[in-house]
Amino acid sequence: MAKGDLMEKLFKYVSSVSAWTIISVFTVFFITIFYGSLDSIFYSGIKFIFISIWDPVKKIFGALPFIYGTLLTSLVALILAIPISLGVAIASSELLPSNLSKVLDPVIELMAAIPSIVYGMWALFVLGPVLRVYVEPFLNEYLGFLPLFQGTISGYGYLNASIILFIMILPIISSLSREAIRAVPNEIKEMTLALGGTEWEAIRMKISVAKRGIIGAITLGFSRAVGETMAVLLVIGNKPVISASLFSSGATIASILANEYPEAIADPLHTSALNELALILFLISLVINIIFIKLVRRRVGVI
Amino acid sequence: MGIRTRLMKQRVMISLSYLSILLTLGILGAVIFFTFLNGIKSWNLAFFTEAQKFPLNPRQGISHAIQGSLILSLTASAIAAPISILAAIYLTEYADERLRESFDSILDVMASTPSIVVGVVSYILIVLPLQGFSALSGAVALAIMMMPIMTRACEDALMSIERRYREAGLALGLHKWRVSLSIILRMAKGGVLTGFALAFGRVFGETAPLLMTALGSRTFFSGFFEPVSSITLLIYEYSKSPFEIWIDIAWGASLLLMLLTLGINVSIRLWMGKKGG
Repeated sequence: MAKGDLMEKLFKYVSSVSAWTIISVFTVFFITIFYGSLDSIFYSGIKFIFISIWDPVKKIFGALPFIYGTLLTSLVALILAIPISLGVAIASSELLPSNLSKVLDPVIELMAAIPSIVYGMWALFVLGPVLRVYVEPFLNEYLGFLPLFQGTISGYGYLNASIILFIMILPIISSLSREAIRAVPNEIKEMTLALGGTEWEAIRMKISVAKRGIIGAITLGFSRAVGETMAVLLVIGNKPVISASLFSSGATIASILANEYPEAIADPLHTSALNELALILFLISLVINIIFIKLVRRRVGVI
Repeated sequence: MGIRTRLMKQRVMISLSYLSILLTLGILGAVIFFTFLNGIKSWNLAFFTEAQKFPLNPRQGISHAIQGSLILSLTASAIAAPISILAAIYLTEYADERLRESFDSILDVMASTPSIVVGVVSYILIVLPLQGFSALSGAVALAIMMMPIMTRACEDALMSIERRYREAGLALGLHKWRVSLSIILRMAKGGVLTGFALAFGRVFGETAPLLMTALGSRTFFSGFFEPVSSITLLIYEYSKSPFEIWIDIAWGASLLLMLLTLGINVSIRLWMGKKGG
């Protein structure tokens, strides 16, 4: 019996250590990146996030172009993804016969399982030429009065990156919104119909009840877009510039990290500046994810 | 608003909803179709059996990258699985409700940390002290990404086992650790394995953290302290190259990667569907 008690204590100890190890990895994350950024923090100070020049050779490190690129591409992706995801969520939860949506829902969720490098290949060799030949000339001709759609047409840059991000967050936002709408009791819809509402008005009532879950879904989509690396890296052009034109090349925090990190080893200050970018990305996604968890108590990792 | 405008609005909005679902399926179809069309061209025997050669040699393949991907993901699983199972047992069987909930929140936040950040951390913690890019650092980076996903999935699986089985085990005079391992974990085996497969599928397609850890290589695996290739790293490298043969191979590798990850996900769904009735 004594041996069993010992095993019990040992097992409890080992398993609790495992749990705490995983959690401490997360703390170590923060400490490590912060430690890695110290050189850069002392070198550039607060200016780091306000300077719009990134020139490792001249030792000028400004994060603004990357923060701009990250927010711009993620926001354009959200502007495209929100209405279409909601449309998908409404169609599959309210409009399609349940047999059909039982088949379509998992098919759309599979989109989220395709690795980002595969989306990157597709955006580089399929989407890029389509944008260059059809979409960008069209936008330039009819909406060219906006600075967004002026400039040289190449098929690569912010617009391509935003579209591939839109495609990648579409299944996430639509499936989480769909579940939020499905969770609303159908009586809400029936009540609206009984009061003389149209079917669309009834659906809108359900959506307004599911608002919290839908905003949560959008938050998670935003978080994915902000941290996405490979697909963006292949199509954005990787130039540290700030341009109002969506046709222009640019860079995001994640893309510059992937692009320059392996080559920056020789220069500790350059590496440290990249670490500080990683710290900023980490903090941005941390804030978004905490908002998400506060909004919907649901697991984030797996959709 | 008159009823006519309201009905008009309804018709427009409902058509737009149908249109969005068509658009989404169209995009998915276009991704799969073009990846298949461009990828299948380079699939021949050499593609699967040969390694990287000079860019103009038509007889070359990605077998070194397939090997690298398997080694990286399997090593990562071997590191992450035991820790995750034990952590999940601790959280469901030993920890109190409040502790478990706060752990869950942290695990959720961890699971959605951008993978490139995991790469940077692994670089500072492992590549720098070891003074070189290595397969080991790549596997650890992937293991860090797997742990929160695996732990959460194991927790869900363990929680789904009813309380009475635990009570029955304890009533037989078994210690709690025996009950946890021999009864609860064994009963939850299906769910645990599903979680592992999901996490495996996720890291198998991962590129960003490997760029700054495993780095990539032109040859087969040559030890855990040497750089190693992966399918994803190969696609990235070849996609930037000016050589048509390499770009074709990058498409072939994308097709393989897409089929493997979709295959893992579809089998999980089919298997869970069968189990759930």
